[in-house]
Amino acid sequence: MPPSGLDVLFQGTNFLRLLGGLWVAARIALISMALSVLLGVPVGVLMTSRNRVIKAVTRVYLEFVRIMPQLVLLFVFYFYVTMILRVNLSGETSAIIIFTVWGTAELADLVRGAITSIPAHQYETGYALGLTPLQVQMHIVLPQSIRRLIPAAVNLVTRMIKTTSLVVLIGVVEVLKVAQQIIDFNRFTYPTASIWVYAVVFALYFITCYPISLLAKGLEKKWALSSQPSH
Amino acid sequence: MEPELLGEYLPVFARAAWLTLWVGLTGIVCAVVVGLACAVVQHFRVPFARQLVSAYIELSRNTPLVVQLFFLYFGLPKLGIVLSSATCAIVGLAFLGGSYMAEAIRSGLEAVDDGQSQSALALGLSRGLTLRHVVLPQAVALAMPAFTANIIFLIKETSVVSIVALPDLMYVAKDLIGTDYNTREALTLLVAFYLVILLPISLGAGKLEKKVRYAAFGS
Amino acid sequence: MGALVPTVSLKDVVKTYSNGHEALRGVSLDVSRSEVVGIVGPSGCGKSTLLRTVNGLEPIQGGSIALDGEIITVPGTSWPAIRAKVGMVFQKYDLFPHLTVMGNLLLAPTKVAKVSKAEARSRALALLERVGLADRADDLPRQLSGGQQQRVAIVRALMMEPEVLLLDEITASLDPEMVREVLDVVLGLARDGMTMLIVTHEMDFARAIADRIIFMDEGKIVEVAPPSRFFTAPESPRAQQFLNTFTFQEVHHHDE
Repeated sequence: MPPSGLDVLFQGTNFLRLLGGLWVAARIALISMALSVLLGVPVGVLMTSRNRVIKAVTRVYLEFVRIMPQLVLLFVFYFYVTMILRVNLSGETSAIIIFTVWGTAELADLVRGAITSIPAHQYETGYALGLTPLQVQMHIVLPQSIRRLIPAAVNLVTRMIKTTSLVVLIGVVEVLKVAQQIIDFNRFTYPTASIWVYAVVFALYFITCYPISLLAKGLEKKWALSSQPSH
Repeated sequence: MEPELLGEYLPVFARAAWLTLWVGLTGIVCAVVVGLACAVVQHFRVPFARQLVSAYIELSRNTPLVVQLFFLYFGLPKLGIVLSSATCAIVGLAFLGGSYMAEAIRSGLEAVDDGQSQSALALGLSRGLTLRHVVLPQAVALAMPAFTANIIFLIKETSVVSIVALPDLMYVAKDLIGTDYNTREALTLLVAFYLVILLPISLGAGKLEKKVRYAAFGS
Repeated sequence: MGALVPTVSLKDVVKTYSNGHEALRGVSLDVSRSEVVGIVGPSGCGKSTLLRTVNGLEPIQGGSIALDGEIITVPGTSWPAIRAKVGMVFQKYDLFPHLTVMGNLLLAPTKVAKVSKAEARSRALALLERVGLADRADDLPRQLSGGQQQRVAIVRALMMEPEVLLLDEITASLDPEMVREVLDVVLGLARDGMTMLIVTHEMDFARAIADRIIFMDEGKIVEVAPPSRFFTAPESPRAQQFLNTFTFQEVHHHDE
């Protein structure tokens, strides 16, 4: 009987190597996400500023980063910015920097949206009750903003993880690259390996992202600020 | 930067941009068809098909296009299914975009006031007629912002189709970097072409949203 | 002849929601041709649900409903066909915002009854004329006031030439000054012999238009009486209590 393509994964350390590749992708995603939160929150607050210069600068940054495909940004940075700066950065470091630049823009916009989505009458009601501006922020605005922000931010994590799949195009050895190597190495013993190995990579991404998506959806439902009376 | 080089590369990039746009738009049209079909199945709660649609949506939304394309282009031939580069790219975009479009339409359908379908049903319209003449036109208007966001998202996603050997913008840029080492010119044109494609769509989207919304609701 | 077979007949109708809430607990009611029945009661008493069972917007869990003697609450009933014969107007008018007034009026006749566009159009214009809106045919709903929109909604229901009209609190969303223009249209319909079931909070209106008042509470019909008697001398304590909520005791600020 010819060996099934799936068996290739149970040869030697192949499956472990694949998981190792996934970890590289996950590591890039997690570090980028952590940095994006760190930078995105202050940038988001900055974006609500009334100062025209700040508004314009943050706006251009946001629009440019969001309109460009992440892969284009990655290419420009990896092949060009490192060249003119005369620094030698690995693909992984470049990816983390670019995904942080992108993630910061996305998260900042979520923060901005969460802050500005609080209707004016919420502030007015707070003031009318005699609360100070700080108290209004602390007890009325912030709790509502965070409820809007967290589910969307969790969702951004899955987008970040999916985006890391791009790094294979700048030569980072992550899960897809490992898969390619396994397939190439076994191309004569397991000629049908590719369908199985890529299906497994597909499944690995799904298994990683799906629980996070569920969490985002769950939080969104749980924290939905519904002011409509239910019948 | 050398201007004559830019001039020399321009036609190459223009051809590649055309391919990017063609693949992107065809993929988007297919994604809308897939999305509409899925949304209708979910709207009418068609048994069995509905579970299938949910499973598809979760699979599509929780995996990257790059992985989907690898599977289509390098995996499927082992099952005897050989797709051309362009077909792969379009199928991939439709598979990815279908779920995003389905979600946009579904949330549009949900946002239409319940009284609208009640009134239509009370007039004797069947569920199908109610959907077609009353609910869907309003849902499309409500879904417009999500719709245009998806279109921009999908055109951006076309940037990865070079992995299935499609000579799109990324492909020629990478090619020129690799062969001629004219990194600066290649990347300048790459960014410029994506701006030329995406900026008008992004700016036009806002206007279109307002227009459609006004036509449907007057506000 | 019409007296023999009621136009609408409900027998022991039971409506239970999936959450266990019993909205209707055995309601029986016969409405004869050209009769106008006013249904009143506190909110949550089941009066709106009752209307919605008649055209199948609420499926029922017990009892039966007949239209012209024919039982319609059986499996296999074509509800679109029934609903074409039973007009309904809702509290929030719910005109289709993407269609003009004329578009709203033509949709059901041309798509369901398959009447020619020209025929439906001339009928629409005649009806609009009657409610004083002939010049607004090409306007979009948002260009009309609430009262005007509700008059269009009534015309939209009439376009299908219904045998019976269900009106569900049609003035409850209107500004007070617009209530009159809508109710005048309904009074006109009553004079022409339209069979109507009217759920309303406008007690004066109910008194003026209804041949019979049905008072409901907690999913049941508690009292049935001609309006003259119901509004002056209701028999049941609950009806008395309900009518009391519409009158205010004068407050005396000064001791004299």
